[in-house]
Amino acid sequence: MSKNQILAACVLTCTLMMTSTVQAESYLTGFTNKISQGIANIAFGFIEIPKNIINITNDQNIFVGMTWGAVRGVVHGVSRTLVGGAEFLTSPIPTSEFASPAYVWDRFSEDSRYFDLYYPGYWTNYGPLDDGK
Amino acid sequence: MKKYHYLPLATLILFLTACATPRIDTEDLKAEIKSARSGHYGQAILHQELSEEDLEVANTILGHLEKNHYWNINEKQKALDAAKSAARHRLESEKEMCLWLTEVHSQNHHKGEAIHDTVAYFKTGSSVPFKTKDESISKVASWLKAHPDATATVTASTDTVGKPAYNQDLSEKRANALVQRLVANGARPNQLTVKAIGEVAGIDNTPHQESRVAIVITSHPNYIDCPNVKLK
Repeated sequence: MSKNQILAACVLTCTLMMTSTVQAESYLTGFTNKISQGIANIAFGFIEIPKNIINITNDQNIFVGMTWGAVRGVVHGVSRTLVGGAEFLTSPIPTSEFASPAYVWDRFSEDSRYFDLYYPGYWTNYGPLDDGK
Repeated sequence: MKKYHYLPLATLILFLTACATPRIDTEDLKAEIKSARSGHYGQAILHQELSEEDLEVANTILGHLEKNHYWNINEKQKALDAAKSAARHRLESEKEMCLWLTEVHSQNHHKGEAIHDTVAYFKTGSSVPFKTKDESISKVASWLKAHPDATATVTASTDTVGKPAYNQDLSEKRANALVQRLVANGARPNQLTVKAIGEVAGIDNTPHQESRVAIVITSHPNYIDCPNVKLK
């Protein structure tokens, strides 16, 4: 074993010993959360379509909901699916949540954002499936 | 209409009648619900409940704003209105509670006029009264006993016969003589303030009955429920 390998082993051992159990647990929780959110967003990203139709219909009317809501829903659906993929791939790296709400069924009246960015043409009232309580 | 139509029609009417949902009289239930919140105490509870509901709304929205949830819905005004409404209901609750308080203990409020009476008369140089108004003494003592927060001042004086220092001492003895009678009739010593004024102004060495007296003056605390709450 070369000197460099011994040095690297020592550094790694020290780092692992310094890392507390709590940090390990929080890392594990973040890791599993990201995997779970990634899989859920890949699988259920399409729910953004009915979500946008329902909420925009409630905010405006059925015609705006079925047109603008559907367009918005598709864009959101694709975005959430892609973001889900990114979450899954980067799950070992601790980061803040990529999508908000993290799951498409959470806070159904909240217009989804990705990396804190939102799309224009959002609704401004609670939808029929969520009263914010 | 042909005869054979009558029977099915009658059957249908009977069937529909049989299916009519019975109406349950709810007047007694409404009266019971209303009675649960009647009166000042009931209204105080009602306003407290409404205040709590409003606060819950305000706190929920505060949580949304702090966590940046429901960013697309402007809820701040709703939360401000709810918080203001909660404060209003809280004040109304406090007012109703004060009115209830007055309602349940108003008998403790002192409504009578203060008593100001000369109750003992003395001969020159004597600290033992030759005449007392026992009925007045008893009345004042009983009143003080019934109202522990009330007080009375016992004032005694002398004429100008004798030396001023002697008369000062004499007036104290006269006042204490009256205090003893009041205490014997039920007043508490800590309710009584002695005011020995010695000689009353006048021509030297002149006996004067109007100066050789002991007077009792009651003091009524000006009690108000919740003085800092505007009830109207």
